[in-house]
Amino acid sequence: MKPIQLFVLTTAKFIVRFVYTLSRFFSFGEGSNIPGKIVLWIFPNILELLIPRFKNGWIMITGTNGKTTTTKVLVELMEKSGYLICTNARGANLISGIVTSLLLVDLRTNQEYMADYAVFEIDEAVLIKSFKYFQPQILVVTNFSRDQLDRYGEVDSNVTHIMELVSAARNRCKVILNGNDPNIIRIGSVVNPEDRLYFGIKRENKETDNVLLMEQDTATGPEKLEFPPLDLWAEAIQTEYLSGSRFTINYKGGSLPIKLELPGVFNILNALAAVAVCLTINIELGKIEKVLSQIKPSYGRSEHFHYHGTSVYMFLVKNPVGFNHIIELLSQAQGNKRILLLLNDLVADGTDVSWIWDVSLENLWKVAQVKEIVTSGTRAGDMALRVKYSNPPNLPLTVDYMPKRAFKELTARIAEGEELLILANYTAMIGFRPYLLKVCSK
Amino acid sequence: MELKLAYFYPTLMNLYGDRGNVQTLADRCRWRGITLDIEEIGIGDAANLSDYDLAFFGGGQDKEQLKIGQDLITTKAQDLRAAIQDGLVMLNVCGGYQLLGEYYRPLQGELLKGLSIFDLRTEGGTWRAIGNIVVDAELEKGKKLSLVGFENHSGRTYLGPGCNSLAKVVIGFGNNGEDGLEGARYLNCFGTYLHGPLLPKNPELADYLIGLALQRKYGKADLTPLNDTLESQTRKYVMKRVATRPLLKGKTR
Repeated sequence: MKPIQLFVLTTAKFIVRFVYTLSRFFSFGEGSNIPGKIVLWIFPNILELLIPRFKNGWIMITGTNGKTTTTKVLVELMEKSGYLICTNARGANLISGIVTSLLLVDLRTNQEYMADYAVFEIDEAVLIKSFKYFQPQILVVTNFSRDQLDRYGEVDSNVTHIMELVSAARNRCKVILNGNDPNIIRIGSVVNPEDRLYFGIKRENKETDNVLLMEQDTATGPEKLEFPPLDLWAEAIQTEYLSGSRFTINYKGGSLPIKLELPGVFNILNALAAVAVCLTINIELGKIEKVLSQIKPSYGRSEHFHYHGTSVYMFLVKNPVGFNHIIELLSQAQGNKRILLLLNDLVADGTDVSWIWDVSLENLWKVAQVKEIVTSGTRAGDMALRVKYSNPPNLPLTVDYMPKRAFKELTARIAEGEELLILANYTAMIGFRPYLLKVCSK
Repeated sequence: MELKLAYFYPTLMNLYGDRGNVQTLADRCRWRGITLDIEEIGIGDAANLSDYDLAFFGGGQDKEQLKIGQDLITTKAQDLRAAIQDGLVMLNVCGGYQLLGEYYRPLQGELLKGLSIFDLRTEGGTWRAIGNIVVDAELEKGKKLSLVGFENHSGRTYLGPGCNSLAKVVIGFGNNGEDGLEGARYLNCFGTYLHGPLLPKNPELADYLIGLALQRKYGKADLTPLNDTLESQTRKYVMKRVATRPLLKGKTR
């Protein structure tokens, strides 16, 4: 490493750590984006120094939902197989967050490489802008659906951009695609068959199709759409409500029973995406079973807390498809549930909250036995209106713009054996989780 | 009492939660004991629109808008024009609003012809108007109403003398950001850029549409008042929030 490069990296590292510590000390939020932003302002080309510092290159995970969980599962699988990995700090998936994450770990400036792989989740719009710098070895696309339309372009044009970038890649880029998602399967057509892997859930019957809840690709319509044969798939799925699921993973004639503690069909797909990457870099299928069964949910994604004997679950819901997946999960079991819905309209959430009207909320009333709904966050009223106009059964509906007060009053009414389910969009989750950690045990 | 609603292209033109408008009309009818029969009208369906009392046409992504543009003209234009002349109560949002005008001319690509029901033309803009919007409407002489919603469009719409505007912009961009106007009205046909969706937070407008439809079909419209405390509190809260924050405007990539 040249002295000037060493100087830049050391200075950048110092700045990031200083700002990160400062912002966490004074609780300016999570502190994962601001340090990177400052470094990028001082050294706009810092990524050119950081990107080549991985022995086997970059693995990037993008998509609308499931990025954080897929990345977490993949990192755990790879680390248990002996790889040294660098990954996102706390799901920060914009460029500034990635820079912060890279500079927070040991840079090993005395060695040629800082780690074996960089495994990063990246926001789809950011990926499109920065693909040419990262030149990933492997690109995972979990799914695409409409998300934050006030911020990003349309699903269709995003997919087209990714196809152009992959086919123009300088390095050979392998793609790992959700073969159940009609919006993204066409990405596979721009690479050679040996450079792509489709994962998914075997479509056994109409019921499986229904639980997949993929957004329809309106460009072609379902009648004309042909799903590709899956290279890696899950079948014989048994869901166990909030405690996870059991299924078998099938690949090249081999099959492996899996127990996953992460609940919901969407998490089976996240696990499959991670397993697909492992198979691509030649980690044996047999090695992953035990690791998979021990993985805990990540940050705010079906995370389990205990509040004075009550089970409290927190779910991040930030778009219609993701929200529908949680409704599908909650509908797997009857039981007395009280629900706290937190909806914010800050810039990071998308200031347009109209997407809640694309959620099939009415499905929640069918079996879930909801006893009460409380809405909170900066758009608590909008959320309550959505509930009011969804044919709910006769249940108490309360609006309280102060989340903590809403939580306190709600928990005071909880009876034994009832669950509290908190569904929150991005900044609402980020803002409320520290409070949950304070008042609950895990 | 019974009303029938034609829901245009519900699977293709369903952006930004616009289906909430139909849900709101349906619920507010149901709560009053009025049956609202919703029929979906898709590509190729030649509906006999004279059977209907209400119609809704929402927004879509560009590719969907292109797909339905031709169908609209070949299978529905004549019938829809006649129904609107006859007083059909119709709400059109964003893409639907633009397609009821004479044309939509994108910055690049071909001109998309509309139905020319509204005397208006829409030109593609270089950036999108995105953000919360508050407008003042006067639905009947003396019946003033503030509407709140969210707009997200790159089209600039200019009204001709053949139709009125729906409202005046208080905060936001509106039809074109120049003349301070928002939306259009021709007879009982309404067009607007307001998503949100529009009707849940503006129940007076929803009731006004239901009332017009009842008036047309039964010659009278006695709407039982509903408990709209949640609706009016939410609207008041959002208007306050919008007024105290800078307007957000984004640029397209």
